[in-house]
Amino acid sequence: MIGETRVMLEHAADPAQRTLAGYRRNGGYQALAKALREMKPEEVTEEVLKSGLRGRGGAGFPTGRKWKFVPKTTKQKYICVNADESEPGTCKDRQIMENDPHQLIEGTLIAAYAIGAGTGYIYVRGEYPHSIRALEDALEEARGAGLVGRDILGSGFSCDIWVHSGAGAYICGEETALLTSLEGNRGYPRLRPPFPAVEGLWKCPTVVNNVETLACVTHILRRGAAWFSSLGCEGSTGTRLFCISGHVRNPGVYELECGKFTLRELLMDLGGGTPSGRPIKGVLPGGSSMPVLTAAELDVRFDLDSIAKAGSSLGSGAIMVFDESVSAVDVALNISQFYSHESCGQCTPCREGSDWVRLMLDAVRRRDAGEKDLALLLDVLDRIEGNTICALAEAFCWPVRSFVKKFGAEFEAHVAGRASA
Amino acid sequence: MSGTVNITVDGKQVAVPAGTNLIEAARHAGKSVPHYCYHPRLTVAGNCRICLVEIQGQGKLQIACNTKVTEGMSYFTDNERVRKAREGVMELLLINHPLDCPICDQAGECKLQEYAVEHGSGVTRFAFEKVSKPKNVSWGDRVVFDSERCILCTRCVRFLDEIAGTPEVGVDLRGEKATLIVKGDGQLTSPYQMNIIDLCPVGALTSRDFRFKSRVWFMHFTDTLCTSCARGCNTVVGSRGDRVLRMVPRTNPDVNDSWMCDFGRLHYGFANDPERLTTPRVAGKGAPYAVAISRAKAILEGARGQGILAVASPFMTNEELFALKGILDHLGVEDRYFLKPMGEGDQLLVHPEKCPNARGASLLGFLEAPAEWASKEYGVLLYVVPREGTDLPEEVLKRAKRRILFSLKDREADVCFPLTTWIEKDGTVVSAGDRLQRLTKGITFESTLVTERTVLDRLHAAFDAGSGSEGTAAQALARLAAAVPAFQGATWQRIGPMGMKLKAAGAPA
Repeated sequence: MIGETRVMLEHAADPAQRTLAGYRRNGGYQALAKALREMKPEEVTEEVLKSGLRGRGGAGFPTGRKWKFVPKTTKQKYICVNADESEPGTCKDRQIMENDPHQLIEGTLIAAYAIGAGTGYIYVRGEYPHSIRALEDALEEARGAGLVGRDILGSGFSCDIWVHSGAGAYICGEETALLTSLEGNRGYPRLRPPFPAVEGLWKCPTVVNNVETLACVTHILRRGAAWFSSLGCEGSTGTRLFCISGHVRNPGVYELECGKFTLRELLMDLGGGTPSGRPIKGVLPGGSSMPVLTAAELDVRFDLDSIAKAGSSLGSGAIMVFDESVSAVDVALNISQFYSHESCGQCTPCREGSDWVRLMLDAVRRRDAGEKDLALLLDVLDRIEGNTICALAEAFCWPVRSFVKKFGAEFEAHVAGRASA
Repeated sequence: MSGTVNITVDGKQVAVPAGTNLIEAARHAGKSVPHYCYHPRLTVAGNCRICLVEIQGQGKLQIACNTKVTEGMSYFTDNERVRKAREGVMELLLINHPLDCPICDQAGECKLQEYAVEHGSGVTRFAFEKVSKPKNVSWGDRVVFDSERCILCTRCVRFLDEIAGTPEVGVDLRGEKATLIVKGDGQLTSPYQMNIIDLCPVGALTSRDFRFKSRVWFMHFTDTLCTSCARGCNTVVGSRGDRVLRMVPRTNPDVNDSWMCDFGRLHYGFANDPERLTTPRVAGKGAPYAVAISRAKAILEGARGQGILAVASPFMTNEELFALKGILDHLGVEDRYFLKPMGEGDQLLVHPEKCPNARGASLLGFLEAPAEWASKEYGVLLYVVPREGTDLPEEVLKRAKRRILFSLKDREADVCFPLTTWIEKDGTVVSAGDRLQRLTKGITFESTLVTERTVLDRLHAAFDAGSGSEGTAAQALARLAAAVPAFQGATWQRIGPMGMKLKAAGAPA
């Protein structure tokens, strides 16, 4: 039986954990005190680097390295928490914010200290009113106890943290669009370079980290990099939150160590297999923006690098399972509908192309497309992918292409014998 | 950024200034990289994606506008991979575009048309209904917006924000439904708003003034200036037959970058006015030029000893003023003035002097008219009426026994010669900052009209057959430059289309 290793969610079921007193009873804010009193900022960054922590938002970039990009200027710097959890299938950050918000606040303060940020913003998905309330309540308590604000714990380090509510746009989870939105502008991703670490919020050096990433930071500082990297496996250290949904008997958020089992074992064991008993048809292992893995590809070891080698990604940790009753064409169409609706419209290929892809898939589904149209669809994806400012284009190109290629027979059956539209 | 870096563009090695972006750098190698959203005077948006190039050693194609050259960089603007991506962007730009070129004002000067020919595939593979968006949207009295034609390059958004300082246009909605909107009540307020029409690379923003007046390929274009104030914004006048149809800015980094104010742009109607005087009038009746000139000569001769008051116009070219000066010198006229219309200026381009050549008039020895005219009686008033903005007081006009006028409209005078407008003649003016610039003839309003310089030269010759005047504006400028120190070294060719700075002229502006 695959077991959970609960670190971030250890006390999630305890309502007292949401209060400062409860959190402190379980060792809360000791990591912050240790960092502020015993460590230099660079030592904090080194510790995080040594832990092997990789970002939990989707791209998996080493967190310590991201922090190191921040120039050592005296200029105002910012730490921003990406809590705009919007990737379809993803509901893990919410567990942290609603059940154990102080560990996020503590991690944010530690990160702020490491990079020298005097202000932090938590950009929370607008559809998460409970998360916003939980964070604001926790912040108020922490502020009252001298844990947030001026001269934290008498260390001389000051950092205030503010919660900002998003307004419902998926694109604002893209880190540069998040910054544009925080500044009060339309949520458009920005050109890179300059990268946010050098020129981010209000043109100041800024680090944007995911909620889960910063929760991990708290535990790394509390128990050490060596302890953290002893969990999981090389390349996927620590524990990770996974949101299993779709055709499984036991959907939910699980905290797991990677590298200890295969994807199939995870879905059959912890997931309990499909409720209907029908075979699994395909799995999106990292949110809707990642390529699908077919039933034949599920014996891959469950960790970041192995899944990447199999041609997909653990992305934001949302594992979506489809059994044989699901049409691959329907899934591809559904994904394209989501991304064409969420395309910000800034770049030509994504603005125009996401909708064209949707229309083509819709025609296929209505059996109103011809055989040549599948080739056209793939060709149009080629013209879009890699040619835009942010990765939203890839977020529909990758999964759609993977469905057309891996479930080709099904798509071909829809267009068989028909001339092009 | 200093010095140069060595780069290779499509296999050709060139040295370019450090800090140059890949679009500008490619020009050094004789290559042009297509672009819609990029504009050298606006911040980089990087959204149109048509300028993708392949940089050796980099996996993804990169946009040339947001990439700067580095030593040893090699990139391709035209290889198979770049061409395919570009063709893809072109196709995607057109799938929802209405392709209504037959009724679009931009046709003929549209980047979508140009790049579709150069970089497009020539066919569409899009088999669905196009997105429907707002059309014929009024953005006020000057700009009309068509969202279906818009490619959302945001040049207009950036211009109003970064140059005009009135961030009043934004993008609304998302994805393929995204559209530009004017914030607030939907009406533009900027006095520079019409520049967004020029900036728009497609037909999304059109000029209410110019809409549907003419296909551009039937028009004649003339590089000249705006004469509404002393800035002397460089312009291109578009005309058809004998009528001016529009005026747009012409890029000159030393004067107006790529912009002009709306007032100047729209202020050309006086040139087309059917009520204009097109033949000289002698005692209120039409007369041939020869008759009017000999009558003027007789009046001026008869006035010797009774005093002559000469009032020039700051709308005259230097060559016209110099021709007038020749006559006044010959007759020994001492009272030489010019009227100067004044108004409000702004921080960007608009100059408080509402005429193009007050400075030239000063340099040629005309004094600014006094606030209070002395109650002196004159035998003759020789008065070139300013095109607009100011006029001689009635009592000064009446105090002269005889009047010789140059005027756009018929006025009571012994002799009234017609004025020609700025677009009907070659000549030079001294713009703000002592910048000598050229006006170029673009239209002939009426074949009967003779320009002021020729009239004045002929009048001069009537007194003094050996005055050696007339000829081209270039020849007149040569005579002027030889005679007036401030203009030393100025030649028609040296001024060129971009103008030249006069040497420190000494006289106060």
